[in-house]
Amino acid sequence: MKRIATVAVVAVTIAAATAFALAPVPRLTGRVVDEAGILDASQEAQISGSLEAFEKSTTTQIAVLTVPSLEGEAIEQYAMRVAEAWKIGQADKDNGVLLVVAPSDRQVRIEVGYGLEGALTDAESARIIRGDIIPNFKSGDYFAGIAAGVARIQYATQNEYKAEPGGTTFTRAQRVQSTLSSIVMFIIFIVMISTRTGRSMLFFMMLSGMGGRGGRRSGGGFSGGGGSFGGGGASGSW
Amino acid sequence: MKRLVILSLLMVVAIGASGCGYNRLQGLDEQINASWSEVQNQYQRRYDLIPNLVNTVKGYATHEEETLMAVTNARSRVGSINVTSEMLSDPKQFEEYQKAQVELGGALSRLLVVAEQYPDLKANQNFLDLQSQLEGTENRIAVARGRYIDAVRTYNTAVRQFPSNLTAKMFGLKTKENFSVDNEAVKEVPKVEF
Repeated sequence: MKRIATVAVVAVTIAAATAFALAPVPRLTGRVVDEAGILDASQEAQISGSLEAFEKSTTTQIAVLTVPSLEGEAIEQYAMRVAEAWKIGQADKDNGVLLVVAPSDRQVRIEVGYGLEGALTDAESARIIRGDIIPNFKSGDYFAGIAAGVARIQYATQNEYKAEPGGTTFTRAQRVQSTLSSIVMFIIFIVMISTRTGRSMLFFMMLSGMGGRGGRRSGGGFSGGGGSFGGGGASGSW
Repeated sequence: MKRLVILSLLMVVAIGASGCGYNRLQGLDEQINASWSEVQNQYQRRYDLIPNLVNTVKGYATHEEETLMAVTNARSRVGSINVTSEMLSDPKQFEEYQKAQVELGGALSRLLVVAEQYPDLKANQNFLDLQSQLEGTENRIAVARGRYIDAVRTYNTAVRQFPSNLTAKMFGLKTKENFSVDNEAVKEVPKVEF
């Protein structure tokens, strides 16, 4: 009797859990995350290469995600969950764009980061979806639709931001600040070494520091720059 | 002597802990203000879009005065409410404000449904742009409200949980109003059969 009750409780719990299950946010494994499997490897590489070059020259991060099912969730909400998790776009510029394609649900969305809303307006996103993406999707050519969409997105946003040549440059104030803090850290270190409590504290800190280093980078060396999104963009269906 | 030292250390810790509680509450309160400003921002954006939209539809949908009037009136009602930060602590004012915004949203949905019946309007580039801007704004409103709800929830939890509720009582900090889904008219977009 007790066994039946336990099984019943477990079954109901699983049923309840799956009934409200939202589509998961996939891991950011690269610039093109093809969970729905609608692109082949060379198509994926082509798009990814174009996006990588675009980021190099403009710092703008564009990512493409295809999902097998939205599990009944509105694509606006799903895209926002992904955008908030992936955080593409640079943190100081919020220049990220996320293209989400749900082929089984026949829905597509362009999610635009705060920093690009002026260049890639809602109206423009809607036009790209209507004019470039959906006509191709309707004839079954997902690659052409995504490639055309990405090209138009790049065209719309190419002049908003430019990458600094020669990597990040620090201002003089930042250099002074980092030198000062290094000196202070060094002094603290010397003081800690010379006392007994200091040495044991140092040892403890080192131990706890060891476990902390986790893998931050995902495959292909692409990770979100910390950009945020406000809900701008457009959706479409076919 | 040693006992005195321990006692004073404990007091410092106690004060420090409640001091931290106060700072945290202030930080959360600021977060609420910031997210409320963003909600206001997006509601304003919608408010500004409407006259253009109404004029464009009016040109094509010649017998839809009732629907257009409903939108214009709902917009005026929203415009007549004076938004202040005290509203966040006053349940009645807040509910009134929320109700007005929801009604405006409903009137707009009905207007867009009506517009679907006019093929010339649907093909008009200006209308398409306005429609996408409106949809974008509605989405931004949803996102801003969601963030406001989270901010208020975090703050209200801190105000009610021990030990920060003591700090809250001490400084007269109360829970803030939140958007409720129950009050909302479910945006049922009726299917238009041809």
